[in-house]
Amino acid sequence: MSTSELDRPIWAPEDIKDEELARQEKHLREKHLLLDPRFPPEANRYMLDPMYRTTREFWILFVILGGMVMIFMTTWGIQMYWGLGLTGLNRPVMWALYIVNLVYFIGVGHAGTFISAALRALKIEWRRPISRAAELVTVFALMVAALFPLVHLGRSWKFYWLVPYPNARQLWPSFHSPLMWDMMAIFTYLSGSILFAYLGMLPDLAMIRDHSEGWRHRLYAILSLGWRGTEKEWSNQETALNIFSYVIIPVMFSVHTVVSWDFAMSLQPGWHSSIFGPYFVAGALFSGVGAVIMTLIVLRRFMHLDYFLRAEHFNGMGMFLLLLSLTWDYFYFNDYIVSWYGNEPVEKVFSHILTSGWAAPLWFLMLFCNAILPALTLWSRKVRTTPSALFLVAFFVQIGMYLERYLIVPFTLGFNEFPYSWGVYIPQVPESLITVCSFGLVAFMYVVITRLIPVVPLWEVYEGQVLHGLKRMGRALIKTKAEPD
Amino acid sequence: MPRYELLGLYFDPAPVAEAITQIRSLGVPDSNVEVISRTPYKAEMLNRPTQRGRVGRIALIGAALGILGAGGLTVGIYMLYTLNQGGQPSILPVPPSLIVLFEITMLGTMLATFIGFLLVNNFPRFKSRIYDPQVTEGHIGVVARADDSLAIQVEEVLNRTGAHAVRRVEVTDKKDYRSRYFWGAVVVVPLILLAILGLFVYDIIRLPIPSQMVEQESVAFQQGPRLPAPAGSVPVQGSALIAGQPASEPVPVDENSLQRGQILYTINCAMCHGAGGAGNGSLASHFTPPPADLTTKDVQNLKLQDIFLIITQGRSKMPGLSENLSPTERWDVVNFIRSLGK
Amino acid sequence: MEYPNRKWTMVVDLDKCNGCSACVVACHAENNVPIVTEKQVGRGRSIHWIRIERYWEGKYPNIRVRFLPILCQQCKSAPCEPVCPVYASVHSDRENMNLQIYNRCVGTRFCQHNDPYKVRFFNFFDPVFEEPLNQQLNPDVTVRTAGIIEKCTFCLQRIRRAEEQALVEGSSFLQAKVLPACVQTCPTGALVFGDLNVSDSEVARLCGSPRRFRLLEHLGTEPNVYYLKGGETNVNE
Repeated sequence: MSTSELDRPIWAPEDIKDEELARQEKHLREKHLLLDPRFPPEANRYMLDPMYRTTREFWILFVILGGMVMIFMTTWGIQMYWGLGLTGLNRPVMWALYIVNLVYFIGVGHAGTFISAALRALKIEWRRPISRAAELVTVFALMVAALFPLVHLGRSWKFYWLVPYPNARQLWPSFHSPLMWDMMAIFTYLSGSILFAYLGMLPDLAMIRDHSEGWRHRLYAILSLGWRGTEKEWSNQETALNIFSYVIIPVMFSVHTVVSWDFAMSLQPGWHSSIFGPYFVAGALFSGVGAVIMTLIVLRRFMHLDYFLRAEHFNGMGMFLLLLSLTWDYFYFNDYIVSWYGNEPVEKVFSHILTSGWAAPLWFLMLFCNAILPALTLWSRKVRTTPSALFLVAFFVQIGMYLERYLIVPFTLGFNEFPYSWGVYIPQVPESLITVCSFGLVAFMYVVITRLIPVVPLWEVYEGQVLHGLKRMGRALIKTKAEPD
Repeated sequence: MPRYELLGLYFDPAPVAEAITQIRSLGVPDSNVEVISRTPYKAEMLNRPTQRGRVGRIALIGAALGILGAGGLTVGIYMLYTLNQGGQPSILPVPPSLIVLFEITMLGTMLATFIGFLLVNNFPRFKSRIYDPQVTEGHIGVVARADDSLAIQVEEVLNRTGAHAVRRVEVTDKKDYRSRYFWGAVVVVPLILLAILGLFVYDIIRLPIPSQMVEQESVAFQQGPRLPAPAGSVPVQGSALIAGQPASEPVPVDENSLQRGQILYTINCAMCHGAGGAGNGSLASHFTPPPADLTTKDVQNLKLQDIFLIITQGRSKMPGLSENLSPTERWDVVNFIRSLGK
Repeated sequence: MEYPNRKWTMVVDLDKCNGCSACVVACHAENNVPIVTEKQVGRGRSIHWIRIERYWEGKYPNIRVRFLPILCQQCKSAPCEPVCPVYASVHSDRENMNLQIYNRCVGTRFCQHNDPYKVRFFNFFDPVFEEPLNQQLNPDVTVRTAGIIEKCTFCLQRIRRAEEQALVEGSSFLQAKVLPACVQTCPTGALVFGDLNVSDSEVARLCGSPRRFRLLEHLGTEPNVYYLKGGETNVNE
């Protein structure tokens, strides 16, 4: 099969006389999405059918997740009314599960942009069917993450004082504070991610507009802004997406670095470390890629996206996860050995309690989930390409990364220079409920959006299918990619 | 603007390139020809000139605005609000300002890219242009704009090169202002919202929020509920209230007392409480809560010694008049106030 | 009105402190510091703007105890200030003190983390002053609500009142007459307060002592509270 002449539609089957070559072609078609173009209306239906078909299971899930969202809001309301005393916070542990959740969800939100923007910039082709699902994970995780600074404020209703606006009393917020940098960074990243996702969505929204009636047609006609697919539109979109990719990658690095500076800028022993910046970014990517893997596996299973999401994609993501695990190991070891070697009194206490005190089970579990399990399993191609196994590894990675943040925030805060002011944090019902239900909130938004937006960017897949082909070299067929200048 | 728009649909790209070449040779300028597809085909594949876009330049404008905005924000705030925090330089600490500068510049770039993309493509499109939904089913459309005679030739070319559907639409000159309304709304509506917000922010509309800590539990001098005097204590000024004994008015209610009371009232009280005691004196509107209406039942039902104590010690915004009036004078005023209710 | 610059300083003589905690009670009374319930104290949320830290050394019967009254050190280079995003924690250059502005605080609690002495306190609930304790509230000091960080202010309200009174009366301001509640109450005279700029003040004299040290000086916070070494109490003697 040769697309070098564009003389017939790429999805039209080619008659290959040679039996061996035909067998090879069939094998390659099964393995690679980008070598497997289908009859376009049929290919569109692979994505449209799951969107339109709403099963009973979906509604059950909707109700359960909706209930969790209600519980989230109610618990938050009760906490705002009575005060933060309902949580397990004390002196000195004044930041606990809410900040852990903030850091965790921002971390999860990093992978989407990385997969979409960085892999796009690096021209890595297996990003094509997964980029939108990843971007949506980013957008929703960030939205929920942005809620947590409000939840943890002592006077949440005064949150708007952190926004620089002119007012009667001429009061302004302070840019000395890492929390303000946080706000700027998260706002930039969230807006950028939403715009980036929307920009990439326009052609697919146009496709749904053309395949729907009634209220759906009107909705997508509005959302697709009148997209037709002219060359000018495509060219401008590519320019815009390129600009976004190159801009949002540094922003992505900066966001989690700025979040890490919430901790690194303080004098708290165990936090005042210059490695926190890159350490957090690596950890963020790590947990984020794990979350995206989990999302993709779930989507593939429940929306029957086997055509789009194939073993090659999970193989690529699995290798990426392994690479990130090793990167995390590198940074964590850096952080650990420096405090282990230094004999600084408070950090000695940390090391002791982490390795042989009450926190030891948490610490060892974290190391197992983050360092040992990925290193043991993700070498194997079989594990990477088996959805259930990969899901399990990614899930344990989430547990490990959550524990890592837990050990950084509430655990470390319990110890400082004056032993009289040491304290232990025990999570109480309100923050535990809010934590669990925040996952429900992300899932809820995601589940709703799968009905409205195609989670696979069809136009990117089709573009890839146009550019990929097979070239015959000797007795074998080789995958080729055409790269226009 | 040429009169007709023609659309021809093809199954695959090869005849498209052929059709475009032939249409060009007919004399139709490249700017009047468009290719519509569901995936981007590079210009060279279809024998089309490359498109140069303005999105990049608009993005740079956004970046510049971002830098200016961030600079203004950081420098401006530090200059407007020089407060010492932790010994850090209060005029422009450089590292934090750089962080803010970076973030807002990137934000400006991204916003400008998006808005530039919309503007350059004339999105959102309100006026419908020639289109066929089959394009998203994988067909490639060739659109040409031409006047009468040329249009017929173009249609022939399309049919000859194998377009399976050809359509011709007359281009109307009707102006559609919806696009302008849209962008106008995009600019005006946020301004209106900001103006409404400004009403709250500049205290033109004041919301009584309980957590402002304006209302305090603690009781200051001349404020708050008066505690009953403990038994056995002796009042400092006059026998107005001796614990355990009924109230007495040392000054009998007669013509002289009422007359003296009225004169003293006019001098000391009328500017707030009004000549007739209705709480409508010339200064009344300056006080929140306003001066009491002395003719109401609530005031008239007060015990005599309570009125005496209020005049002596003051209440809320009302000052105590113990320095202005002697006890007997105060009793005269009390008698006068009582007479107001009759 | 131009007031002169002051360098309010407190000197704590650890040799004289016997841990009676009268300063703690006085501070509660003067500054409307809430009594959190016993359950909340058990959860680690007690609010004492000045507290006596006890450190036990040795095993019974050879126990020694040291008392460390610790209050806001009013650092010159306070780490709690730059981290507040709303300028609720700022520095007063004139009085050389760290100020906490209650109605500006949104409760991020970052200042508490950056404060190495842990002398900042968060109101986890709305303070409850039961009858008749609410009649004892000091009207010169705001009663804080839930969600606000508070800390020792060197009884700034007393300092200001003394300055204003001196201005109104036309008399000279005597820094020696200004006493925070804890200093006023301390029975042994372990707490001494004054203006270090006044060269013949008691604090200036005590600061010349060779026993002088400051807490956590290596952090570079430059506290305005000086401690004088001493203060071992042998319990069984």
